Amino acid sequence: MIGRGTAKGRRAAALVGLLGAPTLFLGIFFLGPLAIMFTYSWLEPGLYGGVVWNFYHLNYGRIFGWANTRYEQFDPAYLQIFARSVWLALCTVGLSLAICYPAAFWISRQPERRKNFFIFLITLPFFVSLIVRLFAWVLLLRPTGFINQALMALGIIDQPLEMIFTGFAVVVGMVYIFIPFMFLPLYASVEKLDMAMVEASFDLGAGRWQTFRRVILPMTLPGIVGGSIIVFIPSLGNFIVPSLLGGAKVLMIGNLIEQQFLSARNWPFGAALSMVVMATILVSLLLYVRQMTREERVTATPLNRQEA
Amino acid sequence: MKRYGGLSRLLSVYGFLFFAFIYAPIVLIVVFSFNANPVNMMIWDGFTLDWYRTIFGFPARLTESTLYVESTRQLYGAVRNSLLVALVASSVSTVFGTAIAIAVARFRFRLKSFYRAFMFMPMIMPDIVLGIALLIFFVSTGVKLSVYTIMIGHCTFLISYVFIVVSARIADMDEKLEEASADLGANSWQTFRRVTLPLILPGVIGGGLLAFIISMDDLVITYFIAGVDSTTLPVFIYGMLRRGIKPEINAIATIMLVFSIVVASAGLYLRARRK
Amino acid sequence: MKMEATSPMAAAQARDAAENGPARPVLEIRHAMKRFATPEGQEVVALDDVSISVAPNEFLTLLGPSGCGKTTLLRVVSGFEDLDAGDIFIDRQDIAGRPAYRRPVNTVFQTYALFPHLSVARNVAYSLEIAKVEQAETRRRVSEMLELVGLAGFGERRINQLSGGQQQRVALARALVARPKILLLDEPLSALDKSLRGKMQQELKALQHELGISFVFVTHDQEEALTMSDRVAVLGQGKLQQIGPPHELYRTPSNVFVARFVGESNLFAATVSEVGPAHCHFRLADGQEVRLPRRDGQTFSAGDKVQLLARPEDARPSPPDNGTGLRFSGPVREVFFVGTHYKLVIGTSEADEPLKASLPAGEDLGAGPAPGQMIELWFPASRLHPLAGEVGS
Repeated sequence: MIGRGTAKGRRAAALVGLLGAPTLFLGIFFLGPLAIMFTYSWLEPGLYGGVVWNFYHLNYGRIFGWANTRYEQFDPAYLQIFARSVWLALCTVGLSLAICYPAAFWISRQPERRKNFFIFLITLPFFVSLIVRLFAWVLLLRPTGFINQALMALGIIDQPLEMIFTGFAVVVGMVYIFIPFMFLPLYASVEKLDMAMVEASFDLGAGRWQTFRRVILPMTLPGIVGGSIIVFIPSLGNFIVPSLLGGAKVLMIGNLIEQQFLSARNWPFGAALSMVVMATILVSLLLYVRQMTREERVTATPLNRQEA
Repeated sequence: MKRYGGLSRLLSVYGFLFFAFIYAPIVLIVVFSFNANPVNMMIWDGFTLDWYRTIFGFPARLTESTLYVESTRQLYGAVRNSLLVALVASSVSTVFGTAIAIAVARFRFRLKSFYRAFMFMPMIMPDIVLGIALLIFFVSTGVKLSVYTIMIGHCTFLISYVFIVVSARIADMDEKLEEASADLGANSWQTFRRVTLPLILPGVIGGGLLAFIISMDDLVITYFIAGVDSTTLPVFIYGMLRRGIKPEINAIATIMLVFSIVVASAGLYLRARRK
Repeated sequence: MKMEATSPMAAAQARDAAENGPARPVLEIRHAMKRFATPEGQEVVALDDVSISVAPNEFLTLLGPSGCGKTTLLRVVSGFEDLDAGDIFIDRQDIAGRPAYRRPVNTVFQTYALFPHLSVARNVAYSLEIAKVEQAETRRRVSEMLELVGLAGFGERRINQLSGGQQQRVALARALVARPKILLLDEPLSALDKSLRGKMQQELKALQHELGISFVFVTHDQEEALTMSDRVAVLGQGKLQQIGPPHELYRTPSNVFVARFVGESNLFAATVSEVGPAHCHFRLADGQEVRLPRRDGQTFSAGDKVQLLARPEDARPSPPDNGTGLRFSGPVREVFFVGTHYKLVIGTSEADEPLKASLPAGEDLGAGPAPGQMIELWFPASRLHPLAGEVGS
């Protein structure tokens, strides 16, 4: 028991004062909902929505293949949608990386004041309403949209291209909204790259490709991996981009979950799908953290020895 | 330096394209919000303020097309809800997030690393999962969906954003300053009022502004936990978009754009000033 | 360990008693114990049964290597750490459990910890504002204090407009304005460059004299400790190794740790060969023998392993014909000319470590010894001091 009147006791009281209310709030309204959703995912769906309080594993069975009853059957479509979500998220990561990597180099070599202004310009769209930014792409990609109108006016095409409601549109939309997410961690590690090291590599006889592969890439890898994971996570579970730019044709897992709640009214199944998304994200995050700590150990050991 | 001269020029061209990619769509909205063509929004047909007139409830002169915004009252209601929710949710989460940030930065306790990890959870969780979890929670505990449920829902993830911004600010602050204050006779509360708070204030304001903007902008979570008569602006626009694209949306989007750019610039300016 | 019962304390008290009547210690630390758990789960003893008293108007320095517990001791007094066991009295009042903000001590922090959002004057006024001192009075005392530290007219400056030395003065003024019983100084000069540090040392000393406040000064710089203090407490591995006036620490350190930490030293391993009523005989490994007078508190018995301490400046280039002492010879390895002296490093077969000698750069040495040259040195017996224990401890 910590006595009152000691430095320790006073600090304990202050700590409770600081953490008490937020902990209570998050315990009820954040952990509570997650616990209930986890529970729901193992309950039987009611006939007209709602749940029946029986332990029920077929919600997961429907997704992964062991459900084979009269009412509940395995449907590979769910896994397909899931695979498509992963694929589109990976495309988003790849494309945004390809776009941001050269830009990060370009900005890192600008004079200080301009550098800060450019970073401000990149961060700014993050604060612009998401729906507004996506709406812009609807206007651009529609059959009667800006791109088609422009191409037809120039005589390059005479039929509008089908761009909206495709996987391409979904990826472009996600890349657009997640560019700051990819850029900032990438830039942080590109900025740290000492140009003298690149020159040293040239000086030691490495060509451009060799220098890139042996010096630049390894040095900026933390930013690449960090940016990738930060883009991958919100892309995978995204719901708003595919619903606006993918339409009914390009369903992602987020849309599937929405349907279970708002139209199919199968809450336990929707909860089970949500748990699967959560699990995927947690696993990818865990792999990332493990990789990072391993790398830290490899690179940090010789440096520490030098310092000691 | 000569040997990457060509590469350098190439990079500059690339940089221009990069910013064009980011800003062209936004500029497009602004420009075409003044387009007088009521049939195809993307074909320029002269300048008009009609769409702005429409959303502010004035009679439009140029167009005889049916008033797309069913009622400006609904739009205003959504704006009011958005502002109300953002104000309350960002205030509450600023207090909570700052409290947790101070506790984690300044105290030694056993659950510290748990809190640190826990604060990142709402950020890695897909919006739709959190939105649905909250929906299930409110429905199964019998809470009626309203602006209040939206406020609670927003707080659950805004606390994390405030926590991260304020934590960064506290990390820059010398812990010894608080000891110096105690040494000079100030108790914990006086130390907080006179030393800690003034020094972390830019971070707290920055975090609060960020929370306000994110709350104003949130669509997915609000979409699930908004009651029938408690629509917010993003949800309202989302509904409009799903029913069809009409020119008035350009005008609304432009106004939102200007608003968020002004608020964000103020916030980023405050953060840059901390040196 | 009843170190405080030694004569210097009595001397300080006697001196004080002559001025102010019977002296009572302002600060008394009794049997302080403090342990820390490291992040790796090990336990570190920061304070191991430390007892120290500070007399009114005394300048006491806590000296020791980093991690010796000196900063912990300071933080215990100021109230930022609790003791695991032991007592602290300020003016005979037990202040255990009293929070830092209700203790009549103020601290000058190593990094100054000045409030960057407040002006110089508001920094200095801080404790008075907290104590709700009347405004006019506050203003008067702040300007008085700023004048005292030589910063009159700097009141409206911002902290980041000041140089390191000026910040140091503001920190001093801020800590002194509330007239604490004791001023604690945590390595306050370590961030200053060497010339400024010397100047501040003198000013601090003068200030302490003028204000009549007890100063407890923490440093790892032994030169600084010797220059400034009435008494120095040497801490090592959480233990109080020795406490006493500077000259006593330097001439008669109580153990090898103190001998090595305070000043430069030559240590010769020796064995006690004979114990007489007033003298002891010591024999070195090379067969030399020396007779030294017994001092209070030294209890040697024949056969004990001891160390004989000789300071570099005790070395004499040519031994006189009579007189006892120790004689060494060997090649000069390195020569450093420092103006008044030549510092020599000499290799000998007798000592494990090379001998250090400091010879006055008089005319007889000319351009000084050359490296490689054989040299003979002599340490008079009167300058030797026996220490119990091995070198390694």
